[in-house]
Amino acid sequence: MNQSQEEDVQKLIRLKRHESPPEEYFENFLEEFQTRQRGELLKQSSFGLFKDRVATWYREQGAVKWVAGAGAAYAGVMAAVFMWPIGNPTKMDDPNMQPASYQPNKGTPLPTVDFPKIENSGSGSTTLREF
Amino acid sequence: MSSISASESDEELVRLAQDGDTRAFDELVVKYSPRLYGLVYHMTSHKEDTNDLMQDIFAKAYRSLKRFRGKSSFYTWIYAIGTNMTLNFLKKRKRRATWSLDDVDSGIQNDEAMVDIGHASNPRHQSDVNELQKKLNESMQALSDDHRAVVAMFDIQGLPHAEISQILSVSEGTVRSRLFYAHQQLRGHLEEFLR
Repeated sequence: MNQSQEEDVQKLIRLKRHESPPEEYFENFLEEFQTRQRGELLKQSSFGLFKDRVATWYREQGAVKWVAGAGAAYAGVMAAVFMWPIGNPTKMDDPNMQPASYQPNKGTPLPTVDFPKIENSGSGSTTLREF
Repeated sequence: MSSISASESDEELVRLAQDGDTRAFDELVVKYSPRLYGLVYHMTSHKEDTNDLMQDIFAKAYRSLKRFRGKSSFYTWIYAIGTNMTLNFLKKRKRRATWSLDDVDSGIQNDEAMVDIGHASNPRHQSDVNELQKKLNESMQALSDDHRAVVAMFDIQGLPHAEISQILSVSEGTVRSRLFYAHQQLRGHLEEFLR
């Protein structure tokens, strides 16, 4: 394709410049956009607005923002280190729990269990069944 | 109004809008919506899709305005947003089974300039303005999205190569080669009107 052929194509395609909506379209477009924009602003939560203001304030700070940011990050890390529980937490409200050092008193007799008597109708005597 | 004062005015409007002045942003919408409409419409060839996309583009620009640092002009920045959003939309639209070329709009058949040019270029086709417009739209839709974007920006909107390369984040050489390839394809489709 030579240059003049390419120019012919371009001339034809340029006709599409005339495809434009009427003037009132853009007035309506702006109104529609404003309605939508206001709707979005109303939907934004108060927390979102607060976050936005903090972000704007932070952006407006100069080199101080990096120092403040580093300080806030350091404070956060230190707070996490000191507040993090070490080892497994112990449940203190279990009534059966005894400390590992607990030794029963030697003078105290061990608890006994009375087994119920089992009747053996075949031999006539009452014995404990062997397992 | 010179281009320098226009860009200064844009900077001022952007600064005010960044500080929360919605009227300043409205002025930017009024200023750039006709040109942006041209870009989006010639990429989609569909009025309703164009309207929806335009709303989304300006809404996104408003939300992202605080991140705009002024490294490029506002015009280039919003064009880049518009082009990216339209290209993403076109990818999704291709996946929709319900959309076809029959949905392409026909809106300029009664445009005087179109009729005059149609008549001057070839009297035989005077009554075929509708056909020419339909063919133009179909030829544009036959291009790939990337090729259509450069044709819309260069041939229809008259943007220079350098600005298109900035908007699309590609080299000027890529813009030129896409244009050349697109023109070749368009020539094939529009042969009957070029004789």
